[in-house]
Amino acid sequence: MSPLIRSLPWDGSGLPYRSHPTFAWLHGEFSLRGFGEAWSFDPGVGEGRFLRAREAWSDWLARAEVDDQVGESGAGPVGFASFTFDPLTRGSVVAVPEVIVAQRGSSRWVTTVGGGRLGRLQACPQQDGSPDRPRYLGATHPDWEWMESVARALSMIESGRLQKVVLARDIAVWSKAPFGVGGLLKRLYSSYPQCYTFLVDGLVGASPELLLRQSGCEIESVALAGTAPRHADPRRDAELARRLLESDKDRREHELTARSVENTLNGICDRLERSPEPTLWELVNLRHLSTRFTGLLTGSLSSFEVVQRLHPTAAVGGVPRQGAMEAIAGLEKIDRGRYAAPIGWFDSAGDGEWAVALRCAQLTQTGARLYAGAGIVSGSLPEEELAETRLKLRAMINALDLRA
Amino acid sequence: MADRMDPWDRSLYDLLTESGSDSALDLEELSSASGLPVTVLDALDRLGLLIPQRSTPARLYNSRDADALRAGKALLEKGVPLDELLTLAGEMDEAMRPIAARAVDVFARFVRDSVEFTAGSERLVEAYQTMMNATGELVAGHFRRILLQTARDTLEDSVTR
Repeated sequence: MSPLIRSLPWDGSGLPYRSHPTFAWLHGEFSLRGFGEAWSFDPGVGEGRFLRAREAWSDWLARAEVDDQVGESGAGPVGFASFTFDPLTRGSVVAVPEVIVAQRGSSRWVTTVGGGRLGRLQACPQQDGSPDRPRYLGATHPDWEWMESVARALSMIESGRLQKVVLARDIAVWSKAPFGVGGLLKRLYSSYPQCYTFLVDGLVGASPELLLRQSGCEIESVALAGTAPRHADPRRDAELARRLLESDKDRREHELTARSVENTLNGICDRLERSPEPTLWELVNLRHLSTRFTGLLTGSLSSFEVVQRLHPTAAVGGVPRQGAMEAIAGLEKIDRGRYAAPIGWFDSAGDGEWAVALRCAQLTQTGARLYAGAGIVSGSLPEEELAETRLKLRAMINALDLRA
Repeated sequence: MADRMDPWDRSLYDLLTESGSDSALDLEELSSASGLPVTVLDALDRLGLLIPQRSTPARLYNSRDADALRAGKALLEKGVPLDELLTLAGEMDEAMRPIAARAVDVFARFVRDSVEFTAGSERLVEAYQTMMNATGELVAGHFRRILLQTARDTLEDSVTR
């Protein structure tokens, strides 16, 4: 059966997304909210999961009929994907919503697949009861053990086996009422407008890190590493900003990440341009050092294949890549799932936008698992890394509290 | 530094720096006495939450610190995450330091000066010891009271809400 994919301009009348989205990508003035699921594919395990996802998408599209009356990027066939951090872990997802409600600036449109109809969404009742708060359940390992892992990573760094490794920890929360994902997305989008707010298969968050934006042969990527807290008092906040820019430890941590992105892109790009000095990327709760890359792809790679080469950047893995991955497996002892891995949307050409799934929670019916990590380099202090992951977790816990 | 001190202050200073030096513990010993890993103790030291009695040639801690650390460990074992505990301890430390400075000032102005005029230096040491214990009781007792009251208010709030 060949599905019909139809994009129509929409005047914004009515409330087409009364029910909770199942997919989302929200950034700046661009938003995609997907409802239902018209198609999905399990790309399996191994490095090949990215290419298999791309091929399955092409195969499915080849059978589809497309009627795009909008003609913007993000109109016509659009899919979502979220990959596992560890190539050996199952759980990567590729999927197409039945209905996508999209907006770019003042332009709005609706894309439907097969039987997906606006009317069906309007009939959906609000599934929100009275919302509860996130209640702490526990962690896979107590956080003081994580601090010991940081100390062990530091001794591996001192011995010269590693230059950088990112260690993550998790916490679990529960709730007496289901977390209303629609409200959660709205909250994340308005609190972190410069981040990439995403939702794919229950993994919801607002990532500061653009792994890849690809349009034809043009690509863009932003490396973020080196983090400091913010302060409510503007003078102390400015002091923290200055210290981050001048911190030798944070500059080294950042440079290792930027170079890992640069090396990968250099191999597949022409005219790769890199912002000369790291700049500050400021969120409400934290600030990061940031370096932006732009370039032109030399071959005909889809964004899936570029993402495969970029992942894991040293912002989530480490340097050297393989040694860091082994250290992570040995020290962390948690399943990262799809945390710290590529998540994004793509179009019929395989172009799209991908973030690294950070500052996120994996939702279940009335529970969530939250992840946060910190980059360890020579000069890192376990207590500072613990405090950094606390701030990152705190942001997500606050977002999950949707009581009025 | 002690050589240049007023003899009155000197007797007190000696008391403050010598106390419990016979039962000083190094980091490893403090770790096994408290049950907390060295990594955590190191962090507490850097954060100024664990203060060594002596830093040279090696850091040595008062054996009484082990009691406080065991209390902290009991909180961890009840499920209080270390990151939250460190944040609280840091805020407490920051809030208490100016109060400690004020308390020392009150002691110096109202007790030390008066004792110097009327009595011998052993009276000063005795007065210090009395005040140290009394202050500890006062602060701990008051804080316990506030904790209880806050916990009760929180429970009552959750009913009325």
